[in-house]
Amino acid sequence: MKEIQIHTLFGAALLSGIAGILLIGHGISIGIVFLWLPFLSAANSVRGMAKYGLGTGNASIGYWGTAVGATSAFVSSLPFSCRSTPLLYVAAVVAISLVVGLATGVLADKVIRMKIPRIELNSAVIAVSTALITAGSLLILGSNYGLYPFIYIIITLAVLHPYNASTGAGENQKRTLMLALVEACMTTLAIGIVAMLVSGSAIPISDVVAIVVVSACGLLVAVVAWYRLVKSDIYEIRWTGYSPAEH
Amino acid sequence: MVDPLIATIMIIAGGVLVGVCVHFIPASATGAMAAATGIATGPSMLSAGAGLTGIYAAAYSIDSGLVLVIVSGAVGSALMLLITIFCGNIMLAFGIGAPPVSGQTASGKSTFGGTKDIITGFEQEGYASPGTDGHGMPFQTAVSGTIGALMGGAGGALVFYAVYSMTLPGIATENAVTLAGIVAAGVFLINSVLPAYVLVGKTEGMFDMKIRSMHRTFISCLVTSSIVACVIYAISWLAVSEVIV
Repeated sequence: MKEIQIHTLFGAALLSGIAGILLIGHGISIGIVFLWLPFLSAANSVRGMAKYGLGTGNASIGYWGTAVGATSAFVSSLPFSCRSTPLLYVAAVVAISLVVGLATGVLADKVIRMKIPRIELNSAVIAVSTALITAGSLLILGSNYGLYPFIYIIITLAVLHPYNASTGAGENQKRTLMLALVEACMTTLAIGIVAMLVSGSAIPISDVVAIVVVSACGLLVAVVAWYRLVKSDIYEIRWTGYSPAEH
Repeated sequence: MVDPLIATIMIIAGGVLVGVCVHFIPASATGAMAAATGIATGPSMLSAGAGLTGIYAAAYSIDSGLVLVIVSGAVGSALMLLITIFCGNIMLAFGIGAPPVSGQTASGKSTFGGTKDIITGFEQEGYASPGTDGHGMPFQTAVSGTIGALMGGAGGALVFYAVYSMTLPGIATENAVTLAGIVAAGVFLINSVLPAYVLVGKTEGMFDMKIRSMHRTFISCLVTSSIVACVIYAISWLAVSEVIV
């Protein structure tokens, strides 16, 4: 089966992420669904890097990439108000995360000599994608500094886990990305619930409820689709589920 | 409080310290099966854990000045690592009966040569189980880990204090502490994962030959930290001078 290219997925994720942030910035909180694609793009790049067998594993890649992305979004929220100037904010977030992500990737390739194909591209993709997700989450949760570690960890887990869980014999991009979608929905659901619970949330309660409902529906659909893929892939690996007469 | 320019240099120095510290901390994923010397996790994750503990410790003494913040961070980090080493050794020794042995030293491939623990003089050869590369954390490895954790904790605390100093004029104290903490953690994670590629998932600390490839870690962490420090400086300047609101 033909795999989706990194460029294609990243291009779509970038546009979708920017659209999502601008929508949330202009009061349409349901635009958080546009942040699901950056989750997929980041998880795909974790897969791209980790499948060549890193010394340190998926967890480190996820933490590293999200550290670049989330830190860029956090520091950018200092001078650029994400509410009053969302376009300027998203431009700063994308530019900073792209530069730092690309620089770390180039260093890992040229200085440390990792010899992983497209490491610089993948690290930049993870950084920008996670930066977009962080920026969107900050818009929902407001400038509540106490929630920064929560935002960081929840995004990291959703990005690093899909490939970590799917890796092994018969791993394929479709199933990994579907699991990434499950975790993306789960993450936005958690962000919605937290926005409901904390005081001083940046958006009205009706919008938060809408986020929770849409994320829960998305989660349900994604889990069913992912479960179907798991079942069909199990047949391929274990060669069971069909009567012997068919083979 | 320190001058923003000095704070930028502090972020760079802290980032480099964090990167270099990973080479000193004994860690190996196969250590979980008592198949290699070192704490049973990847070097970068362990260093990040030690560094985050250091940042928490540093946050408690944020009002006591730079020196105390650095010392607090370094000691907090070293304490965390020593407790991990101690508990790991107890479990390996009494749980599965594997004595702490340095695999590299036992096979005569350690940095200083010989088959004895460089500090205690205990013989290592013959104690490593067949088919393994040592197990547990012998004394020399624990000392190396402590040195690494002290460096990492101090590095994390440096970044923490620098970011705190830069952002404080712009935002409230409690917010500055939180923001500095998460940014310091971010800088720590960025720099602690880079050397893991040099170490390929396993090191015994300063007694491992891999310490000789530290210059690559140094250069990469220097460049990365410089970029990150410049970005933080520029953004803090924009925020404090209120050029854009």
